[in-house]
Amino acid sequence: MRCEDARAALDTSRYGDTDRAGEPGAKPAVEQARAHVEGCTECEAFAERAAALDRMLALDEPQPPGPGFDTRFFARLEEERQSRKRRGLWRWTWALVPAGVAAAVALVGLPARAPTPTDGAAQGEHAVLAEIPPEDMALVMELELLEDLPVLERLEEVEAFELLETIEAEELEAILGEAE
Amino acid sequence: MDDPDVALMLAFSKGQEEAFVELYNRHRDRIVSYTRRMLGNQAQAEEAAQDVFLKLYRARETYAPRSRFSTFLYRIATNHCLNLNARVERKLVRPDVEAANRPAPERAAGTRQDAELERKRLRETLNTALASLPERQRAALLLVHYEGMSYREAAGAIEVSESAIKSLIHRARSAMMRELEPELRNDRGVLHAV
Ligand SMILES: [Zn+2]
Repeated sequence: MRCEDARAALDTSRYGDTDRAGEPGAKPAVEQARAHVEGCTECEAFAERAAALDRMLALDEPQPPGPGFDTRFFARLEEERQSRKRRGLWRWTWALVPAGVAAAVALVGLPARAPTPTDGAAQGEHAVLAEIPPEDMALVMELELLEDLPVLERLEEVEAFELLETIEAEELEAILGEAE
Repeated sequence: MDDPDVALMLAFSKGQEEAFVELYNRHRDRIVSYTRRMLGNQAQAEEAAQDVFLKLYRARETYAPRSRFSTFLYRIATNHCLNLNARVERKLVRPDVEAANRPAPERAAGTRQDAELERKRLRETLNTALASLPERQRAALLLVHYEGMSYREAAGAIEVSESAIKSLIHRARSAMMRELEPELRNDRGVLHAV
């Protein structure tokens, strides 16, 4: 066994190899390494320094977090809960919107890339919002729904139309415009 | 899976908020220690540990028990630390770097106070050596050495193969031994004594 292989095997055995305990071959490598170390001065020195390294590593004891850690964390968590609540409402409103808005967006001549409702995390929502072109974004902002409930009501009306395609673009603009 | 933490996480994902608090209480100190060793700075580590638990909180909707809970949690923590370090790049706050370059003083730890100072100096030297490791090596070493993970668990946490973990640890230990050579060579039981 080469010195490097013996040292690698010693390091591996140091933290147990329980996951591979059943496999043949795992243990003999360690035994070979031990046999090698007994006959190799340099690897013997390595083994001593490895033991010293373990003693040195043991000097770094776990330290509990400083005072106020829990208070700060639970304040952040509460903030998170509140913002999730807000995002939840936002998602809920989008869930009502797509049929109407997607059609409206298409019909008023904007690219039909209205944001799809996402049940992903905030990041996913940001990604979706980031993709919306500025013109569409203006529409999205207009529809910042809960602050603008009449629009939401109007959208439900739009959804109720069975033949959306038959609505003239001007008519839809008017519907959306009325609510402003 | 016979892992009470997985059961707690599943309960949490079904809406039991107190299960989350229990998980937080169980793992808080260890995660703070882990992020401190990963980042080398206590204040930054505490902030990062909180981020980790917030990410855990957000994970409840998508959680599926595919591994031990600790593997899952440390994967979040490891990724978070790697991202933070990538962001600060070289501006990483390092512990007292000079401590490592200071020559080891002549050993004459006579008084208790001397021993305490020596212990502190060795800890700083150790932390500097840990901070100088490439990150994946550091993460691998910390997970198996301090967190007591098996190779398989650590592999899951860092998202590499088991054989890669063994190699990372061997390289980490070799690098540490080179870095700490003077301390380890002079260790004629002094480390035992302090
Ligand atoms: Zn040898």
